[in-house]
Amino acid sequence: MDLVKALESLSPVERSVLPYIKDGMELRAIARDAKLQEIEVMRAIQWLENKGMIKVSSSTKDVIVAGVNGKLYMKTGLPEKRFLEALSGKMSIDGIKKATKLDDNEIRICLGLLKARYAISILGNAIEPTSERDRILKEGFAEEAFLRSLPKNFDELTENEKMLFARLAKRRNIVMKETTKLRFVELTELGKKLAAGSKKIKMDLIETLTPQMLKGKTWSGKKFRRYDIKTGVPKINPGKRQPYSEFLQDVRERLVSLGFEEMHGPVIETEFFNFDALYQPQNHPARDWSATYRIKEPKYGDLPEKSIVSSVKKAHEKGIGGSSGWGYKWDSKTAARLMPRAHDTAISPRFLAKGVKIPGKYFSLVRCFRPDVIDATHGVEFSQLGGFVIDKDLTFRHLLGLLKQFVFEITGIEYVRFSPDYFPFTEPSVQIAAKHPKLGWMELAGAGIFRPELTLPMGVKEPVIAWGFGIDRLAMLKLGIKDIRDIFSNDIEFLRKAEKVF
Amino acid sequence: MPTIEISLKDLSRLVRKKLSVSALATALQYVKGEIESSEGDRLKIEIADSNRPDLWSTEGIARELRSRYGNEKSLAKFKTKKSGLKVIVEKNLRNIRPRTVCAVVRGLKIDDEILFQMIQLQEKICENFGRRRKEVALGIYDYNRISPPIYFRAYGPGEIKFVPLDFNVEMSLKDILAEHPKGKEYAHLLAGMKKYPVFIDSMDHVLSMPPVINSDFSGKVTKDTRDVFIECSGFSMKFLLPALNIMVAALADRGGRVETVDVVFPDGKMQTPDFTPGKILVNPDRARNISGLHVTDADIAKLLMKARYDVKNEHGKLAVLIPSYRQDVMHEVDVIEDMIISHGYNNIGPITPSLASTGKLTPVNNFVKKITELMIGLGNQEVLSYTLTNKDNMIKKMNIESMKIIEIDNPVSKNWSVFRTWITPSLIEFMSNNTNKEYPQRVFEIGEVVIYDAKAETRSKNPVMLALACAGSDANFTLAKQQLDFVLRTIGIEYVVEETEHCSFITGRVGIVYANGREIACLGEIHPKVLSNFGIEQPVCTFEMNLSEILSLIEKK
Repeated sequence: MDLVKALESLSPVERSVLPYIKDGMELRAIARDAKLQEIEVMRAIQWLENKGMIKVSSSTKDVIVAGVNGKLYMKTGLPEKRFLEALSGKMSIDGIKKATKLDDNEIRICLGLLKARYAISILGNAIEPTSERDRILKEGFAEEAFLRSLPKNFDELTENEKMLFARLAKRRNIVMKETTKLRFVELTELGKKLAAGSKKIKMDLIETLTPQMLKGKTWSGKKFRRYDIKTGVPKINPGKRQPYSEFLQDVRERLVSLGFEEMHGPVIETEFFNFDALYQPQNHPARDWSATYRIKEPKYGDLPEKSIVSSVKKAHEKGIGGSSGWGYKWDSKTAARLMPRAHDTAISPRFLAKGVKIPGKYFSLVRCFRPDVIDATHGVEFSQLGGFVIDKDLTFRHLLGLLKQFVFEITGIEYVRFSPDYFPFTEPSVQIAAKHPKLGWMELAGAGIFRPELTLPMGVKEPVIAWGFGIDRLAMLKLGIKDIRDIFSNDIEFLRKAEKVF
Repeated sequence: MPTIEISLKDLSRLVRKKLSVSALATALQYVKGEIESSEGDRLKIEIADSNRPDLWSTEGIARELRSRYGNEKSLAKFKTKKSGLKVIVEKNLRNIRPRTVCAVVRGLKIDDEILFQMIQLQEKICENFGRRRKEVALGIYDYNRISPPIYFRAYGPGEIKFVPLDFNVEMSLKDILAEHPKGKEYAHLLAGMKKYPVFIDSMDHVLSMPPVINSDFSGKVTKDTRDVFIECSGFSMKFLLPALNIMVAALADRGGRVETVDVVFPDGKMQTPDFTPGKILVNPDRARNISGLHVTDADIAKLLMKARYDVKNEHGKLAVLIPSYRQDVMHEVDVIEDMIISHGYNNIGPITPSLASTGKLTPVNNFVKKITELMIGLGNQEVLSYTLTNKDNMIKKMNIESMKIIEIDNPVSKNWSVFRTWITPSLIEFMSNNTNKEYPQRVFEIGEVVIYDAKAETRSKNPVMLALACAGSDANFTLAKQQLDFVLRTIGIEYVVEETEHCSFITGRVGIVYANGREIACLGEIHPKVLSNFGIEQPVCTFEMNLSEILSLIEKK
C-alpha cells in the first residue's frame, strides 16, 4: 500500500492513536497516553487492524482499574492530600470542609488516616497540623501515585503495590479488580512505517466538507481524508410498503393495464347478493349456520328493487329463461339476512343490475370472510380477486383464452391445464392449473359463464364470463411466505427486513 | 365438495378396464374429480360437483367412465319387474314426513367393498344431497326379514318400541331421541312434533324411525344379505326420486335385479323406482355459440351420448334425454357443459378476447395509492391488519366505555368477532407485539372499517381510513400534527383543529380535524393508561383520517 495513500485514509482518531502505539501495549495504556476515551481507541485499533497496520491479540486478566471516585481523585488529588494541604494552621472542621469541598464521609476518612500517620492532632472540634505535615506533603502520597499508574495487572503487582491496592480497596469506589479483556497491540511492518511517517509527514487533511469551506474556498489545494468505503454502516428503517399490500396493489394495476375496471361492494352483504342472486338455493349446505358468518345485530338489511327480487324468486322457484329452477319456496326474509361478504362474486350481480358497459371488463379485489379454523392455510380473512367480462358474442373459448392470459400476466407461467369444475353460479365451469417450474401443477383460478338464472334477473342478456383467483396463495408464492398468517405479519422486524419482489 | 373413498381394483372391474392411478387422474376430469390421496389400492377422490350425487360412489364413477372407454354409450339401461310389495303411507304423516319412495333389489352378492360403497353412498346422499337427512333419509333393509305390506305411519313418542340398529335393548321413540347417539344427533329434525314417522311391517316389526335410525331386526345389511328393500323418505319428490334411483342404479350395476314397489299415498299411487329419463330441448346453435366449437348437430349428439345422455332430433332442436338418476340438469346450459367436457377442455383452442375497454381503479383506491406514497415519503412503515378484531382490544384496552359496533353472531374465535370501527387500536396492538424491537417505530395502515348506519342498505358503511401511530421518545402531538398537516397540505385541504375529549388520549393533547365543516380526522397523544393496557413503554402519538370523506371534498371542488 502506498504510504501516503495509507496515511490519507486514516481518520483523525486513528492518526492520533498511531504514534502512541508501542509493541505489546494494552489498549487502556494507549488511551491513557493518547488522552482519548477507551471506546475511541477501541474503534481506532479495530479500523487499523482492518487496514493491516496493527495486530491485536487479546487475553483476559484480572486488572486493577480506577473506580468512579478513583478517576475523580486522579484529577483532584486524594482527599487526605487536599485535607493536609488546606491545613496550614489550627482550623475548625467546618473551615476545612469549606476550603477543601470534601463531604462528611471524606472528612471522616481523612481524620482517621492522617491521625494514624501522626500528621494531625485533634483538639475537640479543632484540628492542628503536626510537624509531620510538611514532610508528608513533600514526600507525596504513594496511594495517589499508584492510582495514577492504573490500570495494572493484578498478577504483576509488587508487594508494595498490593498493600496500596488493599488500602484503597477499603474505601468506596476508588479501585476495582476487574476481569477484563485485554487487547495487546503490535505494529505490523506497514504500521511501523506509518507510525514513523505520521510523525514526519505533516497531514493537513479535510475531514468534513463544510459550507464555510465552500464559501471561502478553503478546501482548495488541500487533500480530503480517504474513507474506508468498504466498511459497514448502521442500518436504517425508513418508510416502506407492506409486502402483501404492495402485491395486491401490483395485481390491481396489472388488471387495469389489461383494461379492467375495478368494482367495489360492501363488507357486510345481504344473503341476497352473496347467495340468492348467484342462484345458490336457500337450503344449500353452504348457507348453513356453520358454513357462513352471521351478524348479531342488526340481522337484516334491505333487498334491492322489487323487479329484481321477484325475478330472482322466480328463478329459484320455477326457473327463468328455459330453466326448471330449484323448485322450492323462496323466502325473502332469508335473503335479507346480513352476513360478512363470503366471496368477491357477491359484487358482480350488484354491478350487472346497475348496468355495465358492453363490451366491458370488470374486476374486484376485496377482503372476504368465512368461518374457517385458522391455520397455516386459512387466515382470519382472505382476499379474492375476481370479476367478469361481458360482450355479445363471447364463448367458452374466449373464457379459456382470458384465463390463460391472466395466468401469464399474473404469474408469468405459460403452461396451463383446464379441468371441468363446479360452481353453483356458472355453467360451463372450469378450473385452471399452471405448471410451476419448481412446485408442479397448481390450481390457480376458477371460472365459467354465468348461468342465465343469474344474469336474466339482473337484466343482462349477453354472455358473461366470470372468473376468480385465489390471490392469497399466489401472494404466498410470490413473497416466499409459508404460513398464510404471515401475509398480515405483526412483526415490525419482518416488515423492515422484507425484500421487494418483482 | 364430497370426498369419497374407492378401491382402484374395484373401479377397474366395474369399468372393465385396468386403470392405473395416473390414467385415472386424467379420466376423473369427466366426473369433476381429483385424487386427493392414495394408499396402495385405496384412493380418496374429491368430487367438485356438489349437485351430482350419482357420482359419489365407485359405481357412479364407473358408469360415467365406461362410456369414455368405449364400452357403453348413451343412457344406462336398468331392467325392472314388479315385486308386488305395497308400502302404505298414512295420513297422519302429513305435517311430519309425508313422502317416501321405495324399491326392492334382489340377488345381490355383497362383498366387503360393495358393502363399504353402499354405506358410503347412503351417507353421502343423506348428509350432502339430503341436507343432513332433512330432505332425504335413505334406509336399506334385509327384505327377507320383512313381512309385507309395509306401513309408513306416525306414532306417539311412547306408543311403540323397537331395538335400534346394533343395540340389544328395546327403546321407545322418545327414549331413542333422548338417549341414542343417532337419536340425539338428528332429534332436531323432529323437534316440536307430537308424533314421529315409523316404517313398520304387517307383523308389527319396526323397520326404522326415519330420519333417525333403523331397527336391528330388519334394518341391518351384511355380506350375507341377498335381497334388500330400500326407502327414501322426506318431503319433495325432487329430492327423493333421484336419491332412490342413484342407490338402486348402483346396486343394479353390481348385478342386483331391480323390482318396483307400489307406494300408496292418501292422495294417490306411485310405482317406484322409475327409470324413465327426463327430457330437455337443447338448441344446437346455442350449444355452438356457448362452446365456440364448430360442431354439427350429429357431433353434438355423439358428444352427449358419451356423457350418457340420449339425443333425438325434434324440429331442429335436440331432444336430450337425461338419466333418471340426475337431477342437476335445470337448463340447456347444463347439457352444453357436458358436451364440452366430452369434447375435452384441453382440446379447445383458447381465444384471447380483444375487447375495447379502458381499465381504471375505483376512485378511492386511486386516491389510496397516492396517499400511500405520501405516508411512505414521511418515513412510515406500512402495516396491514384484519378488519375483524375484538372488543377487548378495540374498546376496553383503549379506555373506551362503549361503542356502536357490528358483531359476528357465530365467530370461530372471540379474537376475531367484531368489525373494527377505527384502525388506531390495530396499530397500537401491532406495537404491543413489537416492544422489544428497535424504536422509533412509525407505522401506518390504510383500510376499510365498518360503521353502523341505520339508513344504509346493508346497515353499515365502509369508509377507507388512514391511521398513523408513532412510538418512541419523539412521539408527541407535534409529530402527529406535522404528519397530518403535510398530508392535508399536499392534497390541498384546508382544515382547523378543535379541542375535544377522548378517553384514549391525554386530555389537552387530542383534537378533531374539520374541513368544510366536516369531521375528517382525529389526532393526539395516546393516554398512558392505554399504553400500559397494551404493555407499551414508549410514548405513542396517532392520527386517523377518513380518506373517503376527504375524497368527496376533493371531488366537490
